[in-house]
Amino acid sequence: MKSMKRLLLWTLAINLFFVASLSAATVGLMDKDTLLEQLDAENLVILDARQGRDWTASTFKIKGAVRFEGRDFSVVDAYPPETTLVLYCA
Amino acid sequence: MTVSFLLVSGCILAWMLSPEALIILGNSIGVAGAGFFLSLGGGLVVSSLAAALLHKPNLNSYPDSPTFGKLADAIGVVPAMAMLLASRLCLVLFLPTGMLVTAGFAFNETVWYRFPAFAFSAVLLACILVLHLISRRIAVMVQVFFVGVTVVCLLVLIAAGLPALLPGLSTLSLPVLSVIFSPTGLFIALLLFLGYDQTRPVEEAKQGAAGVVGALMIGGAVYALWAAVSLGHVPGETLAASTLPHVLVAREILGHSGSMIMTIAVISGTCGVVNGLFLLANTSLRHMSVAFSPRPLSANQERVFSVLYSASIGLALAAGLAGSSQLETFIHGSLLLWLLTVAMLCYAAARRLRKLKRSPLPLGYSLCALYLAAVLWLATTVDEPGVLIMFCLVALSIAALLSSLWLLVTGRRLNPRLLYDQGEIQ
Repeated sequence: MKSMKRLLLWTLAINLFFVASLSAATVGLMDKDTLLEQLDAENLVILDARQGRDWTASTFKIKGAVRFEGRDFSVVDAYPPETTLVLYCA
Repeated sequence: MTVSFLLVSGCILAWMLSPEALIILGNSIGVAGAGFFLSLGGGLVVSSLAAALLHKPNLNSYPDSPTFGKLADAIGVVPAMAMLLASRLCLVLFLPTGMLVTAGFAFNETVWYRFPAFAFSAVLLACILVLHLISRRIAVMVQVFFVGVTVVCLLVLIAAGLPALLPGLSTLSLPVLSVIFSPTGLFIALLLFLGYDQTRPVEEAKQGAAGVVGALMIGGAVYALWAAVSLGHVPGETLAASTLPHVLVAREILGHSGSMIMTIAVISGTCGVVNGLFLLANTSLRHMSVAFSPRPLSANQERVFSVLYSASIGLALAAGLAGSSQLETFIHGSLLLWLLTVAMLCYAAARRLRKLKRSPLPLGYSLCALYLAAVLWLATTVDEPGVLIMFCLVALSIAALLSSLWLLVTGRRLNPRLLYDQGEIQ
């Protein structure tokens, strides 16, 4: 019985892992050239997700990018649903 | 210029010429404008007085344990151990974590973007560790090279930037009174001139008070020139708001070449401060060990400590501490603990001089009070003073607990030679 429980837990964990990966895969990636083309678009917002020294020690800072503290993604609520949100993390 | 002076200057200027110190300098000159020159001058005078006091020949009654001996005599064994352990270990763990990341980004964004920033930080850390694994003597010698390269890079940028400022010198606005009397500027300057409490990392580096003050003067001159060039090339508001004011100034002076020169200064400055803090921590531990045993730490034991520092910094980097805002609190707290240690060392020196009846002036006590005021002021004027004060108290408490436990478990007592120096055994 115990081994069955363990097996079920493992199966659940593996499934969760793949489901999480699939849901992550639905988020598109944008290369820098595409971003450069769309930089002036009205419904495009760049969210700079870098924290701490990752941000302060870098000379690369995108003009107009919105920064947020920690993992507080509530900043996203301020934009209408049709907005394209680009998360920049490195 | 003797070899001894170069070795001492290399160690003393490690923090002063680090990228972190250049950021603090850039932001401060941006906020206070030309008024910060007065703070720098005041900071240099106070730091020189403190350095002259701490390196006074009369006080060298504890030749093998100069720092710990004085401190233990003045404030007690466990508090002295706690103070030195907390300040040195916090410095050696948190400052390198932040500055190695800064150097990594500087290399990645200016020199070779395909080489990951964190990989470069790891390479630098490994290089410093290798130096310490070879020998302490080599680490001290290479320290002179690191500091020398940083000074040369800054002087090249200063030489390129200064001529453009000369015509406008007459229009430089005089500081307003509120700036002159602001204590923040002076206390920040005291923070910038730290490093003179380093005592004899190797036998060859024997230098009296004059040599230590000389090294401080060199640092002060570089600061003053760099501050003038910064203020002349970049608007104060931009300097104050920037996270990398020194890079902005370098780019403004010489464009891409300026950025490259500053990148070299940042990398060598980072190597210098990481190496210098390893030396500072190991020297303090060695002096502490002499106080409890006739023999100091062996070279192999020091190597083990260097491996432990590197492993901890590597773990902190891998765990993403650099990407957390808490690291800034830890760095700020470590610097305040360093200031607190200097305050206590001034107190210990003053007490020793009073015992010896060699100083009728209360200079040491006044310096101690000034440094304590700086600690309190800088701890309470930040955004989250509670967190910062809590960090310092936790670090001191853990160090005190570990020191007490170590003394209890090993049954160690102070070395009789040290007791003799204190006059307890005749």
